[in-house]
Amino acid sequence: MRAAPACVVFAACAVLLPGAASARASASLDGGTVVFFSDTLALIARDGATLTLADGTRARADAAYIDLKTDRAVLAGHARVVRGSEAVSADAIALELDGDRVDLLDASTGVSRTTRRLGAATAAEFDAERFSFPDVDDRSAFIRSRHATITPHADVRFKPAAFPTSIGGLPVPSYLYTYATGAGFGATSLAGATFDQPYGLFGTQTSLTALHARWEDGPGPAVALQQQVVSGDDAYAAVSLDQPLRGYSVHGFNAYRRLGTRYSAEADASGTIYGTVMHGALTAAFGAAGGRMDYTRTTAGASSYTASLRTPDEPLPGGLTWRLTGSTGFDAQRGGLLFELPDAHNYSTVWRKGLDLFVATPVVHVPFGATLATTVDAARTWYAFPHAFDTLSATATASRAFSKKVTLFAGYQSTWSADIYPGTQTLFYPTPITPLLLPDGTPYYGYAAFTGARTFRSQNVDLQVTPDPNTAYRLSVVHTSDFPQFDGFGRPVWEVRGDVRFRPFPNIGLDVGRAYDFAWGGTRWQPRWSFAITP
Amino acid sequence: MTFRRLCALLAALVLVALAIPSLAQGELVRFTGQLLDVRSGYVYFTTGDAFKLASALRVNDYDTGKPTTTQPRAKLFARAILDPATKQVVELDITAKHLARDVAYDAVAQPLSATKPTTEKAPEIVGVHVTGKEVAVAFLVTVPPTTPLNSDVYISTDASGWNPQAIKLDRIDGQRYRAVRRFASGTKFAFRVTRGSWNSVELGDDGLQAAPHLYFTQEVDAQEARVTIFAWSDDRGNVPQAAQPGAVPTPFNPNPFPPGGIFPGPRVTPPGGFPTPRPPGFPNRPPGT
Repeated sequence: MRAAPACVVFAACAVLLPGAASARASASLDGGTVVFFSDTLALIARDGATLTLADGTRARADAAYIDLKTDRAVLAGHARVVRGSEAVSADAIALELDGDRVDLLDASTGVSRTTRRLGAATAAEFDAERFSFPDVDDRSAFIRSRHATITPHADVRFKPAAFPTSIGGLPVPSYLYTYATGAGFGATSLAGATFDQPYGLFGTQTSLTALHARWEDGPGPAVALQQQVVSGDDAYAAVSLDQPLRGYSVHGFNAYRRLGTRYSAEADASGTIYGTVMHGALTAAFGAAGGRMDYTRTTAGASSYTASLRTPDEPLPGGLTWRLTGSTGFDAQRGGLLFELPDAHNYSTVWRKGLDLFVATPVVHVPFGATLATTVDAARTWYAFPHAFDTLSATATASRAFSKKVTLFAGYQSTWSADIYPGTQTLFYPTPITPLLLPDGTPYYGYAAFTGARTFRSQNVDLQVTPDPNTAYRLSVVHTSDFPQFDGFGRPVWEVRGDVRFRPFPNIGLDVGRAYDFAWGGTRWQPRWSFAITP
Repeated sequence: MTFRRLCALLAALVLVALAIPSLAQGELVRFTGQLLDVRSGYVYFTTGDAFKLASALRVNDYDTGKPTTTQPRAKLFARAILDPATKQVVELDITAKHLARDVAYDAVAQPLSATKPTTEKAPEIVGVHVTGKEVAVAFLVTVPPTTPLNSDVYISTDASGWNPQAIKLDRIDGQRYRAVRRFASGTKFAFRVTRGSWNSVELGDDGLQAAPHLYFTQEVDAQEARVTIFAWSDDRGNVPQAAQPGAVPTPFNPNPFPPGGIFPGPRVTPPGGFPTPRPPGFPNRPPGT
């Protein structure tokens, strides 16, 4: 039943937004070969090119070039443009997909100019830029096709599409390439996945409907459908339905709206068979200072609200900076929040207020040619109930470049937190009656010492080798020392990881990683693979 | 005898001509206009013309033709006398009166000018001519100190469909990342910096999402694009925790509620959820119950 509202929202977005469901093409390009270069957004047709525009204008030439950034088209070699009963011919013809100007270049008579109505042409000044035709190697094209349908400033649909320079890029009957400039197209309401390859179904300058082939951590293969609606860089909305082949579906919603120069609003929601989580936020900017309000609510009856104000990053002697954040808000739970108490129902809403001080150093040079950057963050939260939560964290990152290609990093991160219930600490953190059993069956007696104070410490050493811009090797060793640290439940004590990033083809990059967790989960070591394809 | 005299006379004329370049190569050239500045051995006119000054420059009063103690400065008018042989100004006649433009300039300005006039249209109007040659482009990104220790940083571009992991950057030190890519000159795109997803995208110095950076590959051999990130969209610091620690996502408990997680957990989930932070009811009850 919970799927119904999501389906209604999804259908409404697709139907009520006319551009979302059907894109009006303004031009199509055909040829013996049509190649597309994604870096320069250039379309080139050869072996007999035909360009058809939305107003019925048809143009033929030996070859044609379209610059999708500027919507400029150049027809070269025996070029001829026909509109109705009118026609013009030249050695080369330059025109715009949406504009009215048509320039004719004839080797014998020079340059002349007319309009899309193809009336009498008048002599004009030669403009080399207007007739420039890039000299490119078709073998390095991203897409090879025979027919391209162009929606200006939005997308190009290729029928069929082959990917000559992409590994694993299987030819498909139809492929939609989106190059819309609105940054909101990057937003998604889908959860993170190990692999996510979108396949555009419909697109306009302001919307995109895409199918996603995914591999998700846990359920494995999944198929998702997402509808995006974008208004420049100022607003966007995304609705998605994620259906793993094994497991339960997830509905997602994500929206953002810039409200003038000082404010922005955002909202997101996620629903599963376990319930729905909804979140809304309003962010404000007061110069370099800022404020934010967050409200979260779940169908399980929980909600929380936080309003915070932060100072700008203020300088300190020595290049240090500090920032203070103050906040207030509440947490609420139907039936009682502090369920450890016999009268928990009296505490369905608990207000709180907090302060957070963050101090950072600049990157400084230290002995042995290394650099060092550190941060310290201290926070305390006071609750209306006798309760406080303290957090103190510190990080340090050192780096040493042995050459332009070899760099060594060392990092240290420590977070200490304490959950303090004055007078009732043992009520909220009682000594376990029975010892905690680890996955291998051994008892963890040390857990009895846990009374609310935790420590997370990690040290890492990374060696990075970048022999060329497209290749990188990285070897990482991470050691964690936590309390309480659950062998198999918490973070692994040791992790060794190797990553290789390389680019086998011009348009595709691979990032392959292999990691080993040691002394974790009751096993001596546990390997993991990671694999990512980058554009 | 007559021939020897003629040769001697000719030789003498050549010597005189060489000694007086203006006689050998034509008359002195004049340029008249309003002064903009005189500095570093050059005189600048408001027309944009500039000429090098000879070491033995004579500064005269324009009206009297006699040397003057008035220093050439902006707003004064001046007539510059140039030696065509050295292409330097040998005399500067200055006055506070308005002087008409020296018409003799046009005929000889071209060969004397180091920069030649152009009839090309301004690139701001007609665009920059690009050949499409490969240009090595270095992206240098400075991240805020709140960036998590082992974060990967990426560049997302409109040309890649705003893939949040389009270009991966390599770390240089505690706060800087770098990547080098090769683009054809003329390549133009908009980009934003992310930490791998659009939940962790860069924010402007006011804490709000700023417009994407615009990038253009120029007709050069190498290029660098520097970007400074002021904050990340998921940067909340150690903001006050919820009453239930288990209700706040942390790197160690990414799927905190409901029990079992909204999304399937990445690893084996212990009985009652991950022990850090403490899920509801744990450890009041024995594990596994």
